[in-house]
Amino acid sequence: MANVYSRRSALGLAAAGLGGAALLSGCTPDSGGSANAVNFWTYYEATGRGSTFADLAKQYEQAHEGITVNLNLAPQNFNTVLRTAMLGADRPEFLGITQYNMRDFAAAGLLADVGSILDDAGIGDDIYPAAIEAATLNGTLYGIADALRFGMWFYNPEVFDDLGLSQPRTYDDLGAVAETIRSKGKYPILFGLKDLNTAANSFQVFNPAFVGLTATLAASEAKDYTSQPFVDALTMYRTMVDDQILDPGDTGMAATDAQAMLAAGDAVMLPSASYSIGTLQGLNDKIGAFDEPVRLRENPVATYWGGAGQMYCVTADTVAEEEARKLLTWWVQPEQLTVQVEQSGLVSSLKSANEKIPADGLSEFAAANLDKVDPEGLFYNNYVPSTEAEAWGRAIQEVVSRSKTPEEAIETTVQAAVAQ
Amino acid sequence: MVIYTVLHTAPFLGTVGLSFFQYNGLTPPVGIGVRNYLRMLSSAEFWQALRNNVWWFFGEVVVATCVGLGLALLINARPRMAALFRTTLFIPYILSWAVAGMLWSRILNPAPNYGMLNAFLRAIGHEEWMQNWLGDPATVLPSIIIAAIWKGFGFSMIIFLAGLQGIPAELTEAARIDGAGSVKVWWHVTMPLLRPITSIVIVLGLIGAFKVFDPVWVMSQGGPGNASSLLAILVFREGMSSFQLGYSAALSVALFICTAVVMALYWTFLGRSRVVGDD
Repeated sequence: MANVYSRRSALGLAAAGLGGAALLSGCTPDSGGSANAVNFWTYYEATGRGSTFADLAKQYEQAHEGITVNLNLAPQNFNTVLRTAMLGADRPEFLGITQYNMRDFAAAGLLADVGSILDDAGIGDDIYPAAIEAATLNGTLYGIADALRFGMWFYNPEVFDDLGLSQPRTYDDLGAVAETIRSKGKYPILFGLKDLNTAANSFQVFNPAFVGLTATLAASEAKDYTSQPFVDALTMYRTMVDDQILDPGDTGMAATDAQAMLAAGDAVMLPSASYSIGTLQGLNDKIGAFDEPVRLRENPVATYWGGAGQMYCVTADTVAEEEARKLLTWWVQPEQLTVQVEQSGLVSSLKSANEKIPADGLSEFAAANLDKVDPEGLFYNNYVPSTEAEAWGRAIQEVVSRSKTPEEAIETTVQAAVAQ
Repeated sequence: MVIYTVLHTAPFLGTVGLSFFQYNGLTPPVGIGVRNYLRMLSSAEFWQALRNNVWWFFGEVVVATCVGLGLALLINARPRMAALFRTTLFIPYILSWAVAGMLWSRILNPAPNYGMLNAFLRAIGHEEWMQNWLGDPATVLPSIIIAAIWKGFGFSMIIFLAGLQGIPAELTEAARIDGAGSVKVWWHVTMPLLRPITSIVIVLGLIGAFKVFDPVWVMSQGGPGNASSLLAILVFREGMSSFQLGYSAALSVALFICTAVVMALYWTFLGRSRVVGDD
């Protein structure tokens, strides 16, 4: 057994390995596929927000003879699989992706300019300016948002009624309301901070009040998040924990736990955004939202927060690019986006589609208030790399679980992630 | 050999090569020499993850091995209903971590109305023992390790049971005739004969301890902060979430080196075990 491999065979093996590695790494993007087949990948799931997509794709195929739309709804590890596909010969021509992915792909030259589609689809005057702003990079429009999201402070009205509480408007009000809620053995606020995504998204509630998008973008550009506004925003979490408004146990609960507890009345408030409407109302159709967010400080940089939803983009330089552009032109017209809105509880990026939202619902409330989100309140994590958003999520967990001070968390977690 | 080379050796060499580049998966890779390794060695996250892996070994592997050994001895000593106990105790091992992780997340939820453990502690009047099991840096890793022990001891139990059933009865009977009590028989006869099995269980566990990913990912995603991060979590997070594929490759190489060191131990232990077994 001592000499199973001779030196020659070992060298041969290494050479073959190197050859194989070279072969594997030599694969270059080269779009294959057919000019008549459009591959459409989206992170929406067939059972959720993408529930109408199969019908819409079928309608499109019937109206455009010879064209096939191949849907790929939310494959496992979507971001990873998509990135791999975008580098290979089978990259999808039509994408429904996050703003973060859109920016990365655009910077890598993988996306087509879709500016002309606004006019082709006849939605130039119908689309909210925020949806255009969110998809514009260096003056070029790379995507068309299907929806806009509005920051909402969800609450359980039944518990509020039972306890005789009224909507808190200031931080002091919040403290008083939390004290009453806590005295009944309930959690005043839960986010579900065990989930990194939720922890990162929770910063969208605090960031506009203390930092705002301009300072966030500057910090991201400079790779320096140590300035006082960021410390203040993170300190707000700690203050809320110290004041027993936010329970440190939040870091041990998943987002689904927090949502279920809000619906059941064991937790009473959950600041989030309109993308949670469908889930929360599915659990308890009486869930409501405050008519305005609680002001966490005297003079917030911005009071209302929000941002864009999924971006529809066209992959550049594929054989089916032209067909993908035609599909996008059709897909973002009011008829199609209205169907999506009706089925998903989303708030559309088209004003005309939002007029179809049923009255007296949370979606209608969100749509009616979209224009309150000023640029400083736009979702910070739509604009910074996901590494940075995730690092903020971890820093928030550390502060809420009291394992680090805000300053330490920024220095050792956020800065460690951005300063590469 | 060709298949092995293409599927194993080539990706491995590709990973080693990639570790010398900065690469986000979209734009062309940029050669940066050993900067990924320097970053790794100066990263507190890396050392914390490595420490957590070592804790994982002592916490999960050693304890699960001892529990498995104890249960195997009990089942072996009482053959009645052995099949029932053996099967029941082995069931957690065959569960997927996706299922077991959800189950334990539910048990360890800090809200007493939702988390079974804290509900139990409250029911017995010990609210002061209630913890934020998966959300506190001090308790998160031990909590996940306990879940892993629950899930893992069935494997060592079965292996030990097979070993125990292979020990000739005349050896223990001879010892008893010579006047040895149960403890002396266990210590001087059973344990030495189980040594090869023990070595295999521990060294396999040691190798597994460096590859652990799913229990931590399902139950805490490495948090809060980095409190429960392990090397495999860092590899995944840097590669598949942050898309720093070069840095992730460097971490993978470190993981490989750790596993290779353990493999060397494995061979050493196995060799010694054979000698003992041959005696």
